[in-house]
Amino acid sequence: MYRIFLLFTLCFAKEEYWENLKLDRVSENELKAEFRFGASRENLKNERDFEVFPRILDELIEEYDVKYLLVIMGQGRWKDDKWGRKTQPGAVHGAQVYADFEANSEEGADKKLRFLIEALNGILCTSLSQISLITSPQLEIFKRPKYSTSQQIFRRYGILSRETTCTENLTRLRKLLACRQSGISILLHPSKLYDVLYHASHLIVKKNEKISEMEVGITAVFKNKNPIQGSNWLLSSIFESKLSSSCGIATKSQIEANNQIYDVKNLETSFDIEITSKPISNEAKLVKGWTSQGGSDQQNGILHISLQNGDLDSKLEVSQILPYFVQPRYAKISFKNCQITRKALQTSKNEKSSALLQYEIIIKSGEKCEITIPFDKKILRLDDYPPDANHGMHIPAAVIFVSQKSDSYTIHTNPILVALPVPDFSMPFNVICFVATAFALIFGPLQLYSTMWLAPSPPRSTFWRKINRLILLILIVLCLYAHFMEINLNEVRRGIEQYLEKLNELR
Amino acid sequence: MSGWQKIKQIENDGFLFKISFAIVLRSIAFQYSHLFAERVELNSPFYSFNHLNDGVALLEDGFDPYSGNDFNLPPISLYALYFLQKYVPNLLPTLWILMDISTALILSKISGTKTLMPFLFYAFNPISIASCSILSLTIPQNLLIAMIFWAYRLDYSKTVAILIGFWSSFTLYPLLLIFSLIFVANHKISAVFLAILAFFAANLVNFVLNEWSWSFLDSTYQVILNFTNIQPNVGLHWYFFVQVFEHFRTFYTSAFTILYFFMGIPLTLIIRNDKEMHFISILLLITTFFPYPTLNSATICLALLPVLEKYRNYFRYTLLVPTTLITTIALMPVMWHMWIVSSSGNANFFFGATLTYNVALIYLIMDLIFVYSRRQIDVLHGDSIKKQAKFGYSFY
Amino acid sequence: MNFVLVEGGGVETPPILRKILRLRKIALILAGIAAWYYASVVLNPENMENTRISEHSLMPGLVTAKFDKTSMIAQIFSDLSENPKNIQKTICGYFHKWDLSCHSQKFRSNVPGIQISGENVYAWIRGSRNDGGEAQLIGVKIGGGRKKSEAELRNLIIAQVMAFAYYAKDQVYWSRDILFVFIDATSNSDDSTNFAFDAFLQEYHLTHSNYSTPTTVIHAEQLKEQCGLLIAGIVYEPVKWPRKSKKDTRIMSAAMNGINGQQANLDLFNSAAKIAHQKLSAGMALFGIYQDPHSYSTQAWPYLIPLRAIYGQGFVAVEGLHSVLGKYSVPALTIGLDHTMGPENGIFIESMCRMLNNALERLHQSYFMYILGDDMHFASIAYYLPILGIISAPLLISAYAEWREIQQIRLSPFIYIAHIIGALQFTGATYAYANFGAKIFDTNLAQLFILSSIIPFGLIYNFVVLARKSAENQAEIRFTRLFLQLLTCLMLGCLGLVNFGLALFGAIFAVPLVFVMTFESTSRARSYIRTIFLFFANPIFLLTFSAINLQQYLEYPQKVGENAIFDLNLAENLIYRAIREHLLFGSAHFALFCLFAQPVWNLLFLTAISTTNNEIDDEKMKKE
Repeated sequence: MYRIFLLFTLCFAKEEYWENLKLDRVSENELKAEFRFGASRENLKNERDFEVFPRILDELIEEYDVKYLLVIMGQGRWKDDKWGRKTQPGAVHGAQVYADFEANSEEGADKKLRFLIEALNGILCTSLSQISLITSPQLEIFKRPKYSTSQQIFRRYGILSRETTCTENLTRLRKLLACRQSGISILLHPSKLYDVLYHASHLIVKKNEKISEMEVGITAVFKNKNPIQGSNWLLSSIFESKLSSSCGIATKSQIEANNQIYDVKNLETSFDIEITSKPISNEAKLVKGWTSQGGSDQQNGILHISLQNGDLDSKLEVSQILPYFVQPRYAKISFKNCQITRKALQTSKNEKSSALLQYEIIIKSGEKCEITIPFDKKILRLDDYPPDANHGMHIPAAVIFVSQKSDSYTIHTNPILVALPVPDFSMPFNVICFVATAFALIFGPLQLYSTMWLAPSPPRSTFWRKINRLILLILIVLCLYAHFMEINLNEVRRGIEQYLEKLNELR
Repeated sequence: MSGWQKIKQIENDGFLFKISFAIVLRSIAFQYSHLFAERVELNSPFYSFNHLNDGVALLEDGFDPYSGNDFNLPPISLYALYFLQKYVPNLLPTLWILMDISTALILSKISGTKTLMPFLFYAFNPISIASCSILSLTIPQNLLIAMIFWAYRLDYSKTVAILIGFWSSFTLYPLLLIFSLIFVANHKISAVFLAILAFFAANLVNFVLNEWSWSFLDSTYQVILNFTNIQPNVGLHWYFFVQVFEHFRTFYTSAFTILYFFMGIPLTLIIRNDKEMHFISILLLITTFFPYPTLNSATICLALLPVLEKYRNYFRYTLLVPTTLITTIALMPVMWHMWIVSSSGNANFFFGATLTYNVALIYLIMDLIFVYSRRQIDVLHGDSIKKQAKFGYSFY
Repeated sequence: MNFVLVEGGGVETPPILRKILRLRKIALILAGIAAWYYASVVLNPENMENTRISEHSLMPGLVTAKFDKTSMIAQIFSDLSENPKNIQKTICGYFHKWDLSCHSQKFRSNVPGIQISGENVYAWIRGSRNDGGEAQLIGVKIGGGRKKSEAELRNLIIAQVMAFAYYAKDQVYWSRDILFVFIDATSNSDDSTNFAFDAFLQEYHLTHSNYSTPTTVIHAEQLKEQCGLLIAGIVYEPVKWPRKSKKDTRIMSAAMNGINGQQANLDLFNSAAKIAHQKLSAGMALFGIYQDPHSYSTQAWPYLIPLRAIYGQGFVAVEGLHSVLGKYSVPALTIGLDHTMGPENGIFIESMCRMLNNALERLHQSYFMYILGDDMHFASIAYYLPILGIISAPLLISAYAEWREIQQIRLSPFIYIAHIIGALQFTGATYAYANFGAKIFDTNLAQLFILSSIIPFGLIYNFVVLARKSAENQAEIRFTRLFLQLLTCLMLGCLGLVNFGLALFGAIFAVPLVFVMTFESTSRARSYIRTIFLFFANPIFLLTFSAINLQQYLEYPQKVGENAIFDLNLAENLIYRAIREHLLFGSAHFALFCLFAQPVWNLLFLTAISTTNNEIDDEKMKKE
């Protein structure tokens, strides 16, 4: 009854909610699960009721004029050889933010973005404030829809490699779903979803003139810890929770597994299936990319990006962010076996801003392209180092947007850790003293010789100087004696005090 | 051939042998340039050929080198190398060797009685040979300094003024040499105006070359005045500004800049009678206090010291300063290795070595002021001093 | 402040310097005695500090090890013993079966004079929760073995490391990837094995040059996967039993000297020693000696380990595979594991890996320059560097006295000539060896080199050029004395900061030699006698002499050299070894020999044979 009422109200406000779970066996002992939860809402003016579309996201869109926002957090590695193409949007270890939004000017855009990042921190329980964002990359990074608008669209992309994803992020993402306690979201068991080989959770927010959409997605690849030959997997044992109630307000709620689609929208009893499908052998080779680090000292290093193409001719758009603590040796960048059709470079005068190098490469099937970027490692100011300064800092993964004849998708390489030269952290006062002494050494004689004359001095007796030195010598001897006999100087002082008091009393 | 011509020929032959030996040494050094190319003691953002090459590569790819804050050289250098590399890329080593030998020859001509010593000091100094092999930009700078000193000695006031203005447009600090202009041209002020005019003219050329935009000012002058580039070099400033907290940065940057530009006034008041001494002292000040120096900046100052022949007996630190310089120069690569490569030492070791190097140069400046004053006493009082007379400082 | 001005310029000398200069004549003896006494105090293990783990995050990593795959050890061991050929394929077969990536890498040398080639194997365990930016390295030698027992032991260690990999792949807590490198040792020569490891590391670190030349001597296949920052590397090998060890004590060994005197962070060794003591109740043998704290009868002379440490740091360029890792600034150890089939070695490997896994940053807290007394005691650099300082002090005093006499700089052209001769020797020898090997046109390269280095060019220059005894030449020779003293001091000081062992042994020979030869002599007979002595004290002879006798003095079991004084074969071998290590690994020994020792010896002839008419007058010291 209540459900019918809900459906009725949904028709009025034109909101929709759907959920989907796709299960695939990618190898003998590994299972891939893709959760997708989406909600959409028509943009009617003066309509402030939100039934299934999260209100907080609508406020985000309104406040920051967002056209397209993508936040992905990832953990683990995707095995290209075995599992096929990475599910889109692909993730790499860390957090990525990609935003298209409207603003009046560059400075306004930067300011808006900072607030947007803080808002995202609040919504998703992440700590993205240190993310280095690149403005207006000229080549593609992620596939995104085209839109027409009157105001200028600003594009920003950033990646924070040291951000870890955890169950808190999952909890927050669940809060954005309309059906939290029923439907497929019951299967989102926190501890199982992070004990995996690959984990990616993303949030997409889109707005065009008529509709605002949002999508929450979680992709995970599970490994069977106790493989017994020929055993298949039960849904309840994979996620350790049973699907007992269904989500009534969803327009579509289904599970794809075993090459069929199971509709779980109207569920009476608890639902459990067994994954019996065989893993599809992935014969087709794909585009693979990986980054290696070269160099062995803390003065300079080498960033080596290897791109291995698969069976189809492709066009790759490679974007590499180089943070501010690393300076590329631009003249020594070398390419091996690469056909570069376009280059782009973004830098800015801001001290902490990153640089973005982008290359458009045409690569034939089976070929391998290698890009070598030598860089200098910079020393930073004392307060720019994190508490574990000797750990090093990350250079983010390179993002590769692959366009083939029929298809386009995004893959990543891996982040690398560079060991930076580190100053001595216990020395600020000492260093200031030493350098100031050097300046004083030059200032002293200049002042001396410009204000005074060097003239014959009258002969003076050195008698008082000798007496002075004798007194100092006696004092030093006494102090040494006290030190070696381990006499406490405080006791000496007290003794003298008492003696003087006694003298006073006697008088 | 008369006796006089015979002696001249022998002297010239000996000289020719030394010149060719210097050229041979530099050519051999080019084979080993990879040993020195990345050394931080010989490279700094203002004098590194690699940095210049990066800017040229950016230009060739159609990007603006001044859009980031990594490129610190003015457009004149950028376009000079751009055209050199476009038309005569293989002649760069020859050009550098030519510049270096010309510097040495000019030095030998200007030093009065002892013609050989400045030449030897400059041409066979291992630091200048190593810097030549890495195509360091201190070599053209040294040539410029030699030409300035030559014109200065011969009292060509206009040439000196223009060259000083031109040199100051690269790195702001040589403006202190304006105080030396007072000694030429019979104490006329017009030379100073000419120098400042040359400075602005050079900047105008930069503006034109940079496609009619002032974006290079940030990268070239702001970097010097605000000490924003804190990468290690042999100067005093980098470690200081690594360690100072943000709150005090403006205070210290203004203090150091003001102190530096102010120092010309007392120096001019002290050294009034000897213009070469004044010039060399200011040159040493420029070398020591420039925020991004290399070891080669000091070679020409040390090579000019034999000009001050008449002060030879008065120096106090004849052994201390050269041995400290040589020891610290030998220790700097060791300390760098200990910090960066093997991690067995930390940054303080390298900082200590560079600090001691700079303090040795400061002692040299101190000594120059002292010997001038000391010789003034001899000149003024002369015979009235007994042996072992005591002297002190007083106001009258 | 007041000055006492002197006529003609300058100021008077402070009195304390005058007093020091009076000691000049006996400075050498005093310094020798002081250094001997100080060294005997500082290098005594009883006076040394106790070792401790300074990095806070390492201790929490010392957890209970749960390794239990002894059946896998036995299975792999029998498999390896049955198929001795194509061991690379066997190893990769196991890794692929366990779903881990494994690849092989072929390599060969690029210089015609040295013929080395082979195939390494490397495998990765990737942690699924880390970002892949860091890794730790475990290295083992595969193949080879001169005797059957040696080959069996090597297979045993391979089996144990692989069993550990089998255990580790299932653990979820790896914050860094683990890289297993199986280094080709089939050629049974140390040089080739070290070269094989260097080939791998060069491709890992993308450094296609060694220290001295930009062209590479190694030609190796590229690595096929992404590589992270190496935080530490441990190489495992079967332990060589140290002599005089009691039965029933389990003994392991550790070695950590790198190329050019670099040493691994002491924390790495301390962790290994702690694990050995706590988990395995084993002792750690160093440099082939184990000092059992419980049994005094089997203990060796207490100074033996520190002296062997100093000797090894100075003269052994590549001590083991860990030295090659040192070239890339990766802290590394070679651990000798017990010859057992049980889980103890696996427990050690696991504990070591877990400890390193827990480290937050690269190891930087503990000492990088130290001398180990035994596995629980060490002396840090602040204690042992003064030995070098005390020994070098007489040269400084002499230099100061000479300066007060000369007061001017007169560079002799022979300084340049001597260094140019040294440079020609260096480039010529390395070029000839790289391109032609040990034999050029049917002559032995080393013999040519020895011949060229015993020619006293200094004497020739002296008799030919300086034939006239003019005042100028006297000043030149005087300045050459000063130059030599200061140069020796400076070079020993710089060297002492990088490679203390080489500097100390160099100082023991160089300082007395330079001091005696640069002391002014007033009688011709004395000059001639000391010139003849200098001729016989040339660097090659001194090197061979010390090689023969130091080995005996430090109680190394194998006898080196036939004669007690000089052996031509040994000299040749030393030269070849120096050139090879320079070409293959970038060791600086040969360069230092040709560019410092030889020119100094040549220059000493100038000062040794000269006689002066007047000695330095210590009384009349007016000018500074």
